[in-house]
Amino acid sequence: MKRHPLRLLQISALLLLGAGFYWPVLAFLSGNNPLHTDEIFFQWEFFQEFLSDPWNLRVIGFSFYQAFLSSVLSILVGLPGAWLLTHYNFPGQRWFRLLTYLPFILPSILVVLAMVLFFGNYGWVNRGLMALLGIDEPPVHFLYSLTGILIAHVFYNFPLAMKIITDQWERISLKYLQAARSLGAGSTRRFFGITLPLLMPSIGSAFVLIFLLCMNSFAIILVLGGGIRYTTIEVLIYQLARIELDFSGAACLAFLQGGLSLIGLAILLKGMDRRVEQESGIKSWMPEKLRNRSLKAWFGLCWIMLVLIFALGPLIAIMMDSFRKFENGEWIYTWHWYQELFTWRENNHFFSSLWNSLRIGLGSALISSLSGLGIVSLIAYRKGVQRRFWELLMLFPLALSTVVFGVAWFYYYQGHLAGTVPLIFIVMAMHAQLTCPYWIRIVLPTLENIPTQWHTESKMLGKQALEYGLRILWPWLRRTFLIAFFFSFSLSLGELNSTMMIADDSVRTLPLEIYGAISGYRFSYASAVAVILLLLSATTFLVVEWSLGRFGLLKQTNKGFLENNFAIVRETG
Amino acid sequence: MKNKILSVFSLSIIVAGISVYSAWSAELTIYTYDSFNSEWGPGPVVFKRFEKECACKLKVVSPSDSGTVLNRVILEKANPKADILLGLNNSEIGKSFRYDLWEAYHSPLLEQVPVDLRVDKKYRVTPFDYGFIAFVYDSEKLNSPPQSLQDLLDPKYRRKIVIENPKTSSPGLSMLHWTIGVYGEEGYLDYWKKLEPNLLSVTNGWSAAYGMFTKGEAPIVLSYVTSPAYHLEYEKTERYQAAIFQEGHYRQIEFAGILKGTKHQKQAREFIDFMLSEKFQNVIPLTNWMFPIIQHQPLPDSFRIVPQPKTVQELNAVRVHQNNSKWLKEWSRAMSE
Repeated sequence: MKRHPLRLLQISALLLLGAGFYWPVLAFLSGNNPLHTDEIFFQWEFFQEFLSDPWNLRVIGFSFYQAFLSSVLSILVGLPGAWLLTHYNFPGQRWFRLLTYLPFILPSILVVLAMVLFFGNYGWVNRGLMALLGIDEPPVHFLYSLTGILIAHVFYNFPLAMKIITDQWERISLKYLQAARSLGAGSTRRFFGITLPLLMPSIGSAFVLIFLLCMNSFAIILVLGGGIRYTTIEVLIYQLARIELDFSGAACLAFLQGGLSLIGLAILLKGMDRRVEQESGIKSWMPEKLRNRSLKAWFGLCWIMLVLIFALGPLIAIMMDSFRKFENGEWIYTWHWYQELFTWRENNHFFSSLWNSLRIGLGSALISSLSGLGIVSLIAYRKGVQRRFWELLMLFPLALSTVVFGVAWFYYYQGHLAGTVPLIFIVMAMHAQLTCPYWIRIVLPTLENIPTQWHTESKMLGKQALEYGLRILWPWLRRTFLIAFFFSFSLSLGELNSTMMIADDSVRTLPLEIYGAISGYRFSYASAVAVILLLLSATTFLVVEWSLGRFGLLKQTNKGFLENNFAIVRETG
Repeated sequence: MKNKILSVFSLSIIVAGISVYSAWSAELTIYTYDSFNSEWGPGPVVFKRFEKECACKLKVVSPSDSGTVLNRVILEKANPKADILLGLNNSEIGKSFRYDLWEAYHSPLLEQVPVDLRVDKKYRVTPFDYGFIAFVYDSEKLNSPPQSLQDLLDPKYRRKIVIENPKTSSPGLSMLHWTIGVYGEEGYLDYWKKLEPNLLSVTNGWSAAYGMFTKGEAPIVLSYVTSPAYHLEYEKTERYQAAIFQEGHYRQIEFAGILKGTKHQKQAREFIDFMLSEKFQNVIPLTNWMFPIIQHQPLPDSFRIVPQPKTVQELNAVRVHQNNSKWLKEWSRAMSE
């Protein structure tokens, strides 16, 4: 057996997954309950009791119902966007892409408040309508019901769906569509018969990620759902772990939730095994300019406008909020909060938190990229049970409630690592555990779009694996890598739940600053910090994209480059 | 000779240096909740003052809300990292007693604390401030504020009230205990069922609820009786007022205590004494927005907007600990029927 250069990466990725997630979680759960040392952790009676109560079953049912609806809706909203982005060039496309990352960066408290500011009963939309219609009562109630939960979840997640689907759509070979057209298939039939089946892997990916995110959603469910009628398993876990100190119950529930979601997803992934493999990777179309006056252009325009209102509205509302201050009973517009941010004071933690956020974000995105690469190379092109095993193994960190993950990690850290490993690396590793599944799910569909025969052919030509990687894989995937990297980065910037348990002041991050400001009544100051967080992420993204482009590492059209490369490979053969 | 003098001199400097260093390096570790130690909380001021006084160094860890911090201390019990836990309230101390976390200490200054605030007769925890939960309202949107818990049931407040969830937040839990205190275990669920149509949202925590209130989404919010003082002090407005209820209000008392296993017994005790002194107490009103446990000086001017409410029958800490799960279970079932 020849030594594979990826082997090292694969081993370290598995080690990280084992040591960073499975070992602490399993060791914690299989041991005795730290609070009642004579009891073991898993209590079968708990499950029996829990599942025999119809009220709890309703909670489980609702958790799945809302997560399912949210994922389907996010994909339905994201799909036209993906179509538009792959088929047409329009001004501001770059900025449009950037939108994807933004909602994820905000801590949940600000997402909730942004939704209230914009969609609330006295939010922008309703106040606009009230002024327009000349009435005193808000005409539309978006929030505080199931609709509120869905609006917020779609706001949060549809850009993710759009991104993942676009990335694969761009790589569908036009050959198939041309063949179908010459056989007389109409555009509807071509879409459902060819494009959609070819897109299934990325739609599945998006579904899995969004589903798990919505299962773990907490603040949105309570605040925007109205908080009384709608309860999810995650809320119960939080209640048990934080309020009632029943770790054993919380852990049992977390496993129930994670297990049930994984079983559901396993069935889904089994269905996705029937994906079509492309034999040719050559794409012969370029996005057209969105021409005036065509029906498609009007549709595209309407969709963009809607999305801009829907996705940007709440973000702009937060931005506006950061510029206002309540004084003498009315709102005045001012730079005040930004001045406070940037003036040096002894207790101003803003700069150190900014620095911590940035390095934890970049560090964890790097770790998750490396270990993601290792795991992707294990999964790619595999089929059947083996593939599902690996997929579920790496998805489990995402399916397990972060509250329980945090407690398990804390216990592990206390016993084994405290004092030996600097906390900041621990936090990076923890974040990487949570962002790595995203990295993998984003990269996988696009990677598998590369026809397997390329690999075989390049092998036949005696090309080394490294050369194959550099000349074929990297050009094909660099955009996807960038997307995945920034997605991990953004998630890490907004993450708080899992690290709260082990954090101390040396790893104080911006989300913590935001919470601190809010509990001191400084809501607008918190908005200003959030704006900085958004800017920070946007600039990092643009800088990296720009510098990659500058060094020729990231061209908009990598098609020609690839084809040429591949032609050379073929000719020499 | 000269050499000898020099060497004695340098030796004494080294010894002095070491002793000063060891005094400074005696790190006292304090766990507290995040907002206590945020830039605007009392932490930065009082911790610095204490460091100066005891010539020792403090390590303050403030990762999250008081519930999480308590979890952390309980999980660390076998191998304690903290010397002092500061910031548990009366709904939480029952839990802490159950896990036997404390090293008792009876501070001589406790004599100055009003008798009814000295809750723990075994001196495991020492109170440092207190406040009342209350419904805060926007006086521009509400002409006739509610005057009792019963008033909140009036249909004119339909979907106008925002509260916090008892299952996930401390003011929410206090509200649940408040209604149990007033209506008893037989009557509280009935009250909540009638209240339900008037609730716009039951949020996961104080931040979301109060944010909705200040952003004009709802005119009544469950907060603290002292909240209007913030708006008067920093925003120069009396628009936000606390509604005072005839039934009386539920009181939250915050405590600190020395944790078992501390290696800095002396400094920890000094800290508890310091906590009751004016250097700590006088900072509390304008930073933690609570009442000081010992009023060393008159309250700040902005507290003129804060009325002193009647205290409602408090629930015993042990009873709270024993029944909490049951109450929460009953509550969530009753509310989703």
